[in-house]
Formats: sequence, structure tokens, C-alpha cells
Amino acid sequence: MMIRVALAGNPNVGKTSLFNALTGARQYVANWPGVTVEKKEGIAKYDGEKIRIVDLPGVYSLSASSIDEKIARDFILKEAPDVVIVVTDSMSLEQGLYLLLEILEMEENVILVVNAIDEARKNGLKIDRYELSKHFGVPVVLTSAINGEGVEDLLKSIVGMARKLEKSNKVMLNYGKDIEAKIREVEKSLKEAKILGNYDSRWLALKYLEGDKEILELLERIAGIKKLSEKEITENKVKIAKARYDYINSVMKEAISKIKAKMTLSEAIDHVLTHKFLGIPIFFSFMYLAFKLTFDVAQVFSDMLDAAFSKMANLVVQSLGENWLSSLISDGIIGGVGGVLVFVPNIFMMFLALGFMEESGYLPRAAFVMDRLMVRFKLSGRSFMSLLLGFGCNVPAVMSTRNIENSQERLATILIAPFITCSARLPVYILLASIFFPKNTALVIFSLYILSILLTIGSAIVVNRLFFKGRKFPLIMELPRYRMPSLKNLAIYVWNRGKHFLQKAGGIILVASILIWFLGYFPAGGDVEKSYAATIGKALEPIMRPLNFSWRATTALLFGVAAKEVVVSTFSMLYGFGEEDLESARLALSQEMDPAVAFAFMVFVMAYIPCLATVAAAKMETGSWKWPIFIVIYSSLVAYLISFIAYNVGRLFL
Amino acid sequence: MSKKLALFIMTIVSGSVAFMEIRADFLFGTFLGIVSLIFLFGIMDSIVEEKLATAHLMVGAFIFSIFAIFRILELASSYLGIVLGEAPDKITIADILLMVMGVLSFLIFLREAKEFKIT
Repeated sequence: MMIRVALAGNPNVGKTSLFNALTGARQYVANWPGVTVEKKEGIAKYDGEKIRIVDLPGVYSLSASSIDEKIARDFILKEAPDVVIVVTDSMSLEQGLYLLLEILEMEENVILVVNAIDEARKNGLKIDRYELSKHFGVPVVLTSAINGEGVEDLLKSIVGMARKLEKSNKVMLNYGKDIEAKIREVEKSLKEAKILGNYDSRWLALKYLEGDKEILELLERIAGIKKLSEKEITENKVKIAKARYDYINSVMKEAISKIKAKMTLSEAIDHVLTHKFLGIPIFFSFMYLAFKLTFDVAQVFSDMLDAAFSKMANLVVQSLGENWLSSLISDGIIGGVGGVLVFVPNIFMMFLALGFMEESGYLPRAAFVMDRLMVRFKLSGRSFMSLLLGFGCNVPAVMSTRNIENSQERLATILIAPFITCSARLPVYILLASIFFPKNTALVIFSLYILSILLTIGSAIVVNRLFFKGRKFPLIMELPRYRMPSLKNLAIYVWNRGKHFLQKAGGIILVASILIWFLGYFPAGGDVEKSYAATIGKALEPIMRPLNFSWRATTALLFGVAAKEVVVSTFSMLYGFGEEDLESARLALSQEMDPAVAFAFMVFVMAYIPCLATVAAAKMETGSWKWPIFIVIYSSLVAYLISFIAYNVGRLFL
Repeated sequence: MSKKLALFIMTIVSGSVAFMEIRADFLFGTFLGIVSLIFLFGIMDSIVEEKLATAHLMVGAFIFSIFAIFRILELASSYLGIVLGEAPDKITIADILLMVMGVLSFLIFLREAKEFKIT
């Protein structure tokens, strides 16, 4: 029989690290809250038992006010795992113990894990696990997921609890006369209505008193218990929270001894990086360095790959002669897929830079710093964190909005996230910027990123004006400790993010390349001007004429809807420079484009319809087609408008 | 040496290097100038609390050394380009100053970091 275990805890306490240590999995572990937005599963074996471990999203409470909280709560309530492990951080135990108390009210088989115990020792903290165990009535295991300390003890404890060798003695916290009387009253109604099922009556009563929306509706619908007023709910909440924190603090006084602390390294770094005046300039400096690494440092590796693909394509043509098959392989496959793969070094470098910032713990600070700006646009730093992910790929950016508690802010973030310029658009920028702005490649691309941020902010204003009343959402976020990124974790981060690019190259881009080759080769046997692609492109060309985009560029944009990298593949095939070097690309593109058109084209790519995967993610997350359709129409209109402006302004200066 | 004097010297030195770099790469020089501001604000913040001077000195020195590393990486990648027949970047006096100061800054960072509890 399989032992089913749920891993719960606050965000960023090392749950995923512990999950990896227990199961040997390689889930990416970030140094910021909200990495696990869906539950993840793995198997561990110990003492002849198979243990199925589910890593739940990090939550601060079980109020179901965000999707994460709902996922975690529903799993514990409905799946009824054999053991629930509550993971806490030794350095911020108080919040973790609050969650523990909540879970103890609904679940009996609970193990408390105090993680990062090595950090506590470094800071002169001594945590007495026996005291904690005595007061909370649960087995307590001290672990360090980083060095594996306590992991075996935890497995032993899980198996022991599942075999009923170890058990927890449920703590019944006294919430004071007033609340206890109310609890008894609600419990009585619940028992009379006989609707309890798997639910614990005391837990249901507490959630009712705290004004949990889902429970209030449930109890009103099934048991006919009247809804509470806002005033009553607030009063109850305060009393319940106070009782819990009083208890936690009294336990912590007993269980934790501490030497007098001086200013920590994290506090010192925070003072500067989140400085009132310096915070934002420092953030932009780091972003600039990330771009420099991506475009300047990595470019030589891209050039080397480019040269290798050129040689490969030439070799194919020399071996097979000039016929449709050699054209398919050299122009279609090598030109199309290779034309995109040459940007792998740039993309991996960008993820390396982002990974370093995330791993070190800087990104949540960036969100905190940017919150001051974001709040003016009715967003918060939490939206900013989702939007930052969009620089890699818009799909996880849209998915990560699940961490945003407020539904309006969440929806606004989903609607504007596609304007954040993702790594798939990077090959288009690099190709055109290197050709038309060889001396200022990094500057031009940096300006596109800045434009993308401005457009995102502008869209936030529009979306808030159109659909919401524009409430301000305060940011409540825990800042993790700084840590030196480990090479292993960085490598996992870069690989996990970057591999999607490679998978796309071997999947959708390969298929699209062959399709585009077919449309460009037939029916005229290689004469692109008379091809099917030309027919399609020329039919759409009049729409793009005000932007001075040729039919080739228009066709590339059309195919780019599938995936933005396909724009480059289409270019290489329709302009016929797939097997050649950058100089040939420059010669081919210069016949139809000048710097102003090229810049307008890049602006269009930056803003127009997100890829199909992002549209699908938006549909999934909003649960309606209304919003993805809005994204498609709005982004197309905006792209057209700003490209038109960019082209006409560019003509004056470029 | 007092922290305030160290901050003052670093403000001048990093500001000068930033100014010299602006001529070759406007954005790089401008963002390097922000490091100079970190040192400058350190002098002001130390009026409120002495320990903050050390914080500014440590973080500023660390970021300065990151800029130096980036310049080294950029130069290294341009020298790799020789394989492809491309001409490497020229090393300017500003670059040499940046690199020397980068090494010094890293040493300053290591020294100042010891004054805080590691977490």
C-alpha cells in the first residue's frame, strides 16, 4: 500500500528543496515565493514502504482567498492524505506555526518540519524540537534540505505515523470565551444539519467565523446558517488571530533561544538594494547588465553556431545537388530550424542572468522596489514578479498569476502579460538589429525592452479604466534571505527554461519550417515570387502597406502567430539566406527594408498577437474566451498603431 | 581609514571611471555612474547610522566588481571572435582602470562583508 503525503508550508520555506531531497526529483527551486503554483508529485521509498509525496503550493493560510490556497486546502480536505507535513523556515518560524495551527484544526496526522536548521545555527538560534513537539502535539523534525540533514529522520517519521507507531495529539487551542461560545453554537447547527462528511466541525465553525467566503456560502446553502456581517467577521478574525499568535509566541519563548543579533548581511544588502532613491536605478542597472550578457557576450557563440549551420547546409547542397530534396533540407530544415537555433546561446545567457537574480533572492526585492511604481498603475509588486517571468516566456507569466490573491489584479496582469517581450521574440530582434543597427545592437534591443515595459504599464492603465474601478492592491510579501546561487540550481533553472526553446525548435518550428518551405517552394519549383506563400502574403500586404512591410514580412508575421521564432524561419526561407551568413541576410533584407521599417517591424513583433500557447494559457486561466479574444484584438491594434508611429518617426531620424 | 573617507574616495574613483566609459559606451558608463551614487548616498546615510556606511561600501564595491567582470567577459568574447575573423575590441585606459578597480572593489566587498552576520 502506498503512503500518501502532502507537503504544505508557507511560500519559500524550502518545500520544493525538501521535495527534491525526499524524492530525488529535480524540480526547480527558486529563492522567491510562489514557485509551486500547482501541486507536484514524486515517489520516495523507505523501509519497504512506497511514499507518494505531493508538493503543494506555498500558502500563508488556508482561507482559499487565492488559487494556491484553494489548491492546498482542497487537497488536504478532499484527498485526505495519510500524513501532512508542514514545512516551516527556522528563520521565520512564527508564520509557519500559524499555518500549522490551522492545519491541526482540520487534520490529525501532521508532522512539523523546521527546515533550514543550518541557517538557524549560523544565526545563533537554538531550536528545541522537543518543546515544539510538546506544545503542538506533533512529531517535529529538524531538516536542512540543502545538505540533507534530517531527511532520513523525516522519512522514518512519515512511515512511523502511517503505521500508527507515531501519532500527533491534537492541540485544541482555546480562543477565549466569546469565540468558543460561537464555535459551539455553529457546531451544534452543523451537527443538527448532518452535513459534516469529512469535515471537522470545529474547523468549519472557525472558518465560518473568520468569514471564509466558500464556507459561508456552503453553510448558508446547506445548513441554513445566516451569513455574518463584515463587522462581526473582522472582530472574529482579530480575536482568532490574536489567540493563535499569543499561543505561538508563548511556545517560541520556550522553544527558541537566541543570542543578541547584530545587523545581518541580508539587512545590510537590503538597505542599499531597496533604497528609497537607489532601488529603482539599481534594478535597471542589473537589467541592463543582463541584456549585455545576452546580446554582447553571447553573440560570439551565436555567430559560431551560425557558421556551423551554414557549412552544414552547403555540405547538403554539394552532396545532393540542387533539387527539391536538398532545398527542403538546406533551406527548409537547416535554414528554418538552424536559423532559430543559432540564438540558443543568447537565450540561455538571458536565463542565466535571470536565474542568478532569482536564485540570489534579488527578484523579490525588485518586486518590492517596483511596487512603488506599480501601485500607481493599480498593480502591485506581485504582478511585477509575474511580468518579470514573461521575459522568459509569456505562458509561465500568465500561469504564475495564480499567486495573485485579488481577482481583478490577477485578470489585469493576465491581460497585459503578453506585452512583456518574451525570449521567443529575441531572435527577431537580434537578426534585424544586427543587420540594420550593427553599432547599436544592444541599445536598440534594450530600447525595445523598455518600450515593452512602457506598453505593459500603459495597458495596465487602459485595462483598469476599461474593466475595473482601479483599486490599489497592497503588496504583502515575504523577502527571502540572500544566498549565493548554487551552480547546480542555476544549471537546472537555465535548462528547465531553455529546453522549451529547444523543444519548440524540434517541434512546432520544424513543422512550421517544412510548411513554410512547401508554401515557398511550390508550385513554381523554388520561385518564391510565384509561390503559395507569395499569394497569401500579397493578399495581406495592402493591410500592412502603411507600415511599409513587404509581402514577405507580412507572411512572416502571419506564421509568427504560431510561435514568434517562426518569424525568423520564414525570413530565412522567403529571403533565401538560411544557408548563408549574416552578410547575405543583410543584403537580402536591405532590398525591402531600411532601418525605419526594420525598427517598426521589431516594434510590431514586440506588441502583436501573443503566440498560440499564451492565448491558450490565458483561456485556461480566465476560464473564458472573452479575455483571450480581447488580448488578440487589443494587441493587434496596439501593434499596428505603435509600429505606424515608429515607422514615421523613424523615417525622420534613421 | 574611516568609512566616510573610503566612501568619498570610491565615489570619486567610480564616478571618474563611469565618465570615461561613457565616451565608449554611453549606457554602460551611465549605469556604472549609479554605483558612484551608491557610495555617495552612503556618506549621507551614515549620518543617520554609522553602520549604513559599511553597507553602502560593501554593496557598491560588489556591484562595481560585477561591472568589471562584465567588461572582462565582453572583451573575452570579442577576442573569441578572432576565430570567426572578427576584429577584437580595443582595450582602453578606462577599461584597465575599471578592471583594476574591480579587483580592488571585490577585496573591499570581502572585507566589509565580514562586519555583518552571515545569513
